[in-house]
Amino acid sequence: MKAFLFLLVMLFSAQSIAISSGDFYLGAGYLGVNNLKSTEDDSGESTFLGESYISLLAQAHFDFFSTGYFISPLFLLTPQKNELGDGAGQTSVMRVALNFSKNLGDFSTDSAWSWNFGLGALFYKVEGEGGTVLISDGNTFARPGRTETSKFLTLDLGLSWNIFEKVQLSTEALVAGPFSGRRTFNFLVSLKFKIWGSSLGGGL
Amino acid sequence: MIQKLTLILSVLLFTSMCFSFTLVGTDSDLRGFETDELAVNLNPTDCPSDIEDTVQEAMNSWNAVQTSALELVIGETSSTSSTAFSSFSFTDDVVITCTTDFQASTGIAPENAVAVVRTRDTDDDGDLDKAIMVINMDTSSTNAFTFTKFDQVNQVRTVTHELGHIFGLGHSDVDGSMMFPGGRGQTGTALHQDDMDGISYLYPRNEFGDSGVLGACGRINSHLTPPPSGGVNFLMFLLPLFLLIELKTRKQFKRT
Repeated sequence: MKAFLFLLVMLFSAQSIAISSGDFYLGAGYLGVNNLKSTEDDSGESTFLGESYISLLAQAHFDFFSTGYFISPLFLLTPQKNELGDGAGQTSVMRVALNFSKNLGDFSTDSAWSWNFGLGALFYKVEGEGGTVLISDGNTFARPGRTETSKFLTLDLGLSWNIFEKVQLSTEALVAGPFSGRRTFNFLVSLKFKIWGSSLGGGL
Repeated sequence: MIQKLTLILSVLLFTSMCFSFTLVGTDSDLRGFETDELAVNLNPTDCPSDIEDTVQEAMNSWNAVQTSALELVIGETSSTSSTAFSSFSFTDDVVITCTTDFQASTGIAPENAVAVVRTRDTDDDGDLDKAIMVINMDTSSTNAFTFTKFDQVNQVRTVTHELGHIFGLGHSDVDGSMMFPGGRGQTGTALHQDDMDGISYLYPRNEFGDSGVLGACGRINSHLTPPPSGGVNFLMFLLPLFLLIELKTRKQFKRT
């Protein structure tokens, strides 16, 4: 109940600008990886949506030498790991990013929109529980027994909209290996709540 | 608005998948080959004339996995015969052969498999180091599993599946995955996330390794040598973009 009231207060506060220096957001989002690349059905045809995760994220914005840009570090993790039905293992994602953000409009403070670009690092973890399994074809195979993590860079490009003063809806494209045959499109849609920061764009 | 967003997020939640790939053999600690670039030699004798294209297309699928460091390449032309399958005596690290007498070469009835793979950790150090694939080219009329009786998509899927065995994956029970046993008449050759998890587990990519953009970090989990980094590419792209935006913004600011 308290959480619901907190959300109501947050949602119906006065609408304001997108981002200001010193803003700190917490939120949750949908992270889709390997979109347009992997298949999720029997046909073997690639599907629009790939593997998906519900993620928690934190982001701050700091003024970048009064250029109108903000340095916006972001941290994301996926507390809900994708698990094998019989507990053979799980996968999860962690992401750290250092993006530049800017309110749309030249040096204005009255836009509810902002965009961002920059670099991120994505950590994709596969954890196995070990053991063996009898596959439906009658053969026995080993299950993965270690934890392995793939680590790679992403090129990030995003757009955010402050629906209300303290509520921000963001979409981000995270492109990995943009100039290689391993190019992969991932995306993040998130809803973030301003935990502290200015209400009218004047800093803390 | 919030209700709609909640609805969208809820729908997207249910697209979550799980993984259940396995490894060849019964050793849970098995690693793949001790290299990130695996050359696969090919003996084209008795193979279809376009076998190299088919193998290359199959390799492309595995080579496109972003979270994996493994790069499969076609190596040299080999003289290894398919009879080496039974004796497991050959000089190549990895070789693909074809045979018109599948039963004699592999001991498996030609009606039972379109291709077969054997892998081995010959020095018992936990890494795979030898593998052989034999493709069934037995053209007898009773054999429905002759490689060339499959259409091009399923020929590529067959080789992609067998390559998975070669570098260390076992079968998977996930419907639609490349490592699911048996053909099912698919129309595409895309990998399933389960396949991607499997190759990423055996050959995890690390762009922050010794040759990566953040070289000092080093590799932590893997025994494999670091792959080439894509990090420099990112920076090369990003820095000019940022400078352009910055210059344009400053010009507009001066005008006002």
